[in-house]
Amino acid sequence: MNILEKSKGKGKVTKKSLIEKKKFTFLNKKIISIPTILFIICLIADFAPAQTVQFSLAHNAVSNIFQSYQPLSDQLTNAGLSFGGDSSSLALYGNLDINYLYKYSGLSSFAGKLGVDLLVPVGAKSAFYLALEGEAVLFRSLYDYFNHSTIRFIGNFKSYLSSSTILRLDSESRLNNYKYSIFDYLAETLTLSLDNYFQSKTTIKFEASYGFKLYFHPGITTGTDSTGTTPAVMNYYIFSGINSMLSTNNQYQPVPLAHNGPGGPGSGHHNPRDNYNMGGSYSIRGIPYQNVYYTGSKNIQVFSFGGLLAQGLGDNLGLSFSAAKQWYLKGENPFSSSDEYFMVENPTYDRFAWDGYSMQVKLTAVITEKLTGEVQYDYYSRQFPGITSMDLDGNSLGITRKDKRHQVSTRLQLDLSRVSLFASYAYLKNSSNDPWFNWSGSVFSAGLIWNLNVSASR
Amino acid sequence: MKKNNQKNVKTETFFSDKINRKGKTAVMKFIRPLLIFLIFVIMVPDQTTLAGQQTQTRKPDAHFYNIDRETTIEGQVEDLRFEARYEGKAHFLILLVREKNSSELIEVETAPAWFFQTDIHKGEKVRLVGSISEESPGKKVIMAREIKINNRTITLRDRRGFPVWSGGRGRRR
Repeated sequence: MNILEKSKGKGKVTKKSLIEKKKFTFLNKKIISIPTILFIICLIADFAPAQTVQFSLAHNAVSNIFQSYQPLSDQLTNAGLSFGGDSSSLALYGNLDINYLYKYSGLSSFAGKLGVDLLVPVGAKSAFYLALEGEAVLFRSLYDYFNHSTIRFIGNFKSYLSSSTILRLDSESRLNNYKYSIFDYLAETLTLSLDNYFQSKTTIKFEASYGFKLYFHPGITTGTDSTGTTPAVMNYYIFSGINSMLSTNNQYQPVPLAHNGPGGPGSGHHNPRDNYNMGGSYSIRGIPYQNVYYTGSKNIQVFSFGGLLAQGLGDNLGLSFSAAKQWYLKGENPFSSSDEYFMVENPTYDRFAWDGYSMQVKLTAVITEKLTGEVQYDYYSRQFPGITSMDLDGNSLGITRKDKRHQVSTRLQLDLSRVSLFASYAYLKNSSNDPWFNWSGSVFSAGLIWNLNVSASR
Repeated sequence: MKKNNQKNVKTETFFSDKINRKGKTAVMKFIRPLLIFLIFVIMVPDQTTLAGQQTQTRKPDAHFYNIDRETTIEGQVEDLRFEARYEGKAHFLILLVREKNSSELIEVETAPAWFFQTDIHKGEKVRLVGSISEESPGKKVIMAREIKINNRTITLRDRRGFPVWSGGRGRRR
């Protein structure tokens, strides 16, 4: 007899018992999901006639983990185990990843992915690639609002129009389901690219991309969320009288959610260290991500166009220049903030969060037979439709947030017979009309990628 | 209703003397897939052995990787094609490379994944290490282990010739 039935047997079904049941069910899902995923991946890897298992390990030292005006440092270790690569047309692949932060360990996460893909040749010069994969990402309890499951379908087509001209069409459909359901979305991206290589060692490439993202219910709010837990954020909301929000069609209108003034929680300032402790329903500046109450979906459509020009310089050097511009066709960010953490996926930040343009210059070099290096400079100019800039006291400045970023990075990689070792350094400087996002920081990373032989294959 | 409750209480007491009800269900659900995994690991025969015992049906032109016949060549890509090399296996990306010194045209077998993961064009310079065989007079075939192209080195097989191409084959590297 479960909790609900026992409660019924005692004469009443209490809200507490319902909440406990939902918590218990979710906790069970968490507990069984990790060993189940591990078991499934190991089982499939064990059964597969020919598989390569790859182990990767990287350690990162970051000077500004939350990428805000008050830099807070931390270190991250990322470990991953992946399998796949069978020579069959239809093949399984998967991976497990652990991302561990030392100081702000609430943002540590575990991810498991399993997929099946199919290569379908079309003549000797073209082929389709199809893949279906599922993934689960779990964070620690402080940020378990970021927990999500993903179903992804990938369809690619690549064709050699001539031996030096490649046409490619990529499609990705993605369905994400979060514990904090305001983040739930369906996204579709279509990318068309055409590139040509000339005898002068010059490559020219053009790429156009269309993206569609549908947030199912970014403004939903009830007494409890989908897990039956009352978000802490609800304690800080003040609602207007609902009756006054009804339109003549008797439809609920969006209700702006107020929060406490300066000095109180959710006020838009304090410091990142304190705001981090408020958990995943708050942005790092201390404002709840949900800023309106309504039922319904919101969609965003973007279009981008870019080009690349690459030139070989002798036998060991290469120089490339690329630029891209992205436009918002429809919609805007439905959340109060768009936060980008270093190496930690934040559901409020992705390619749909901004429009603007970017440029990149990269120099690659073969230093020795096994040692390669590269130096890269990136520039981004982005604005975030729907996100309003605020001063450091949390007062609205009445303008859309705009950022400009300079980024310089360098990387060395040593490729041995089965292990690749790498080290990289990056310096970033972000300027914004929102003073919270005026920041600079550096990242030092080092790691290895190790191909573990599993079994013989053709 | 009271009787049923008493019966259920007795049943639960039997199982949950030491472990509370929530913990028991969680532990059982944790242990179940682990037990199934252990059974498979113990009972299922070693797939490596099975793979070794199977006879791969291969096309007449194909060959096995032979580390005793490893060689290094430099040249230029003349053509590319996606071709079936082994029955029951995915198509491989085949490069036709004109060797720099001898101007000989050599067929290079790379990997099935490589068609999507790397963009390679006619006219690009390559340097590769692989196992060479002469399938017929004038026709040389290399099974590539390592390819250097576009200022980067891509490892397709380890030093024993076993492939190391990774899953998620449709993604760009």
